[in-house]
Amino acid sequence: MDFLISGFLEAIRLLSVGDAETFAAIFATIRVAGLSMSVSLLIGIPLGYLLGYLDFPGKRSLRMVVDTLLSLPTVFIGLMVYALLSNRGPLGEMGLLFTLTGIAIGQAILALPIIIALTASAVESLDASLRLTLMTLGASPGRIFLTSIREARHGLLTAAVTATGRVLTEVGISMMVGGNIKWHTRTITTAIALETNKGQFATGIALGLVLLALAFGVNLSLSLLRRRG
Amino acid sequence: MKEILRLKQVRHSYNGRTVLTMPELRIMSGTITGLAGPNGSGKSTLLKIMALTERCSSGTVYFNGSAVAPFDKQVRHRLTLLPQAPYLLKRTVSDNISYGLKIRNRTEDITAAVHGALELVGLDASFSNRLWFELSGGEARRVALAARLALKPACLLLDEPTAGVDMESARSIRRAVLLARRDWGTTLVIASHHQFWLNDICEELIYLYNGRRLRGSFENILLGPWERTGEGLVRAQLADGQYVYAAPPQGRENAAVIDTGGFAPARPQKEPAARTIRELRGTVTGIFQDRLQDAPRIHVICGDHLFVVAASDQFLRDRELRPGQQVTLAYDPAAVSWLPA
Repeated sequence: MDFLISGFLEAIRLLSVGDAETFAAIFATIRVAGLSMSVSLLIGIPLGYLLGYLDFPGKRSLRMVVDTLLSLPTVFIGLMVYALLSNRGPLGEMGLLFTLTGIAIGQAILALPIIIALTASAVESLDASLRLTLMTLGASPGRIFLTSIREARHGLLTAAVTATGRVLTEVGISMMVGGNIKWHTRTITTAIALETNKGQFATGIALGLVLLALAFGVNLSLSLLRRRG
Repeated sequence: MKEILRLKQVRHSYNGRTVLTMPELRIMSGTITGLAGPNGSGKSTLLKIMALTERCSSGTVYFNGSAVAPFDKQVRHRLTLLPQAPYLLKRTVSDNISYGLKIRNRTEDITAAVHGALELVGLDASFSNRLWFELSGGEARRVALAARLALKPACLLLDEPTAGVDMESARSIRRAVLLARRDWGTTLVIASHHQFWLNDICEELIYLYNGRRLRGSFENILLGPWERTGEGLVRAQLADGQYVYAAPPQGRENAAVIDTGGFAPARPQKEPAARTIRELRGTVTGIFQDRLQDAPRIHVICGDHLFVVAASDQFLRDRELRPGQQVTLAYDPAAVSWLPA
């Protein structure tokens, strides 16, 4: 038990003195999560809107596929992205393996089904008379899209927070595609795994606390946005 | 008078079932047209097609002489519909009313426009800062109407604008749409179950049944079920046990109609009625005179069915009718017509 308490105290010290190695992992995590979330929101929201808004043959099957992808194992995504980005893979020439961009590609694949599925659900739950009302007020199709997204904003925020939580806490993709390279591709989760293996609980706990703080910050932002209506 | 809307050979289907057939319909600019008919007669579908919020399965809609389709910019900025269940955006009343103005880039003096529209529907300017969930059903309907009136549309279509709202809201809504017609020359097309209101304000009343336009008066629709009698007639029972008789339909028709002019006061009992004439006993509930009809209308309730009877002044004077009075109406079953199935 003592090693946990001393590890916790050491963690506080590492964070308060601004330990370079610890903060390198924190910044790498924020950068890669920011990139992957930006891409997945930009692609996922329009696709989720179309999936929830339109009626077309095969919609239910497509919904089932998207829902299945919600439980994609991160190590499987890591494996596939590794295969694509490795020298022997079709995208090997791009030199993205063991880079933060490579990790972001994998994390975007992880987040995308979450954004699409939850956006589609949020759009489906909108009042059926919204579209009719907007049309009667003279809205163009583009304006209907933007207004519908705004009306479904609480559902979309939930989608974004859920996906962010998944991206921040995954290990498999970051480890396999990033390679856990110190100062470069080491993220909070890969660092925790490594430090724990080395018996360095203090760094692991410090990084765990940061992860918790990040998750709290994201949820607090959501709560404030909801309160603003 | 200029034609603002025209439907030509319009047919609309849902899942292969035809719900509207309108070979020709013309709405003249600046007029008030009423749409009447029972539930499911196609009134809302017709309004949506006229408002270009729904594309008809076949046929053409013309606006000011040009063939138009949903999302045509020149039309969607001049034509608007107040749906039966209007949606309010999850924002303030002001945001809801100014939404259409911003789309049209009419952003100058939006506050004055919002307050003006609120005043038209009888709501105070202080309502502009309320949120959507802070409104009662009637207030929400009035805000939705204000959002349309703020646009000063050339044509305003209203689907049951006063259904399910309190009396004050209904009065404000009626007043506001008539002001829009008076002040801006807005063409009004109103679907409503308030036949008396429609009769009172409309220049033309269109009856719909099973998605088709019917000619004549259709206040007295009887939906059956019908059973055959030994006298070669069919009859439907009213709630008080009386029967309404009709000559059998030619096909599978199930809805019959008695023209408002098809009733006559029953003869005194000492004068035997013609063998073919049948009678209905009921209670007078009201006597009305509207602008659209020449003869006053007597409302007579028989069982739970309200019959509307066209009566001459002479008839009213002779009978000295008043609400609450028992009356016996005579009609000829052979004159009862059948509506197309």
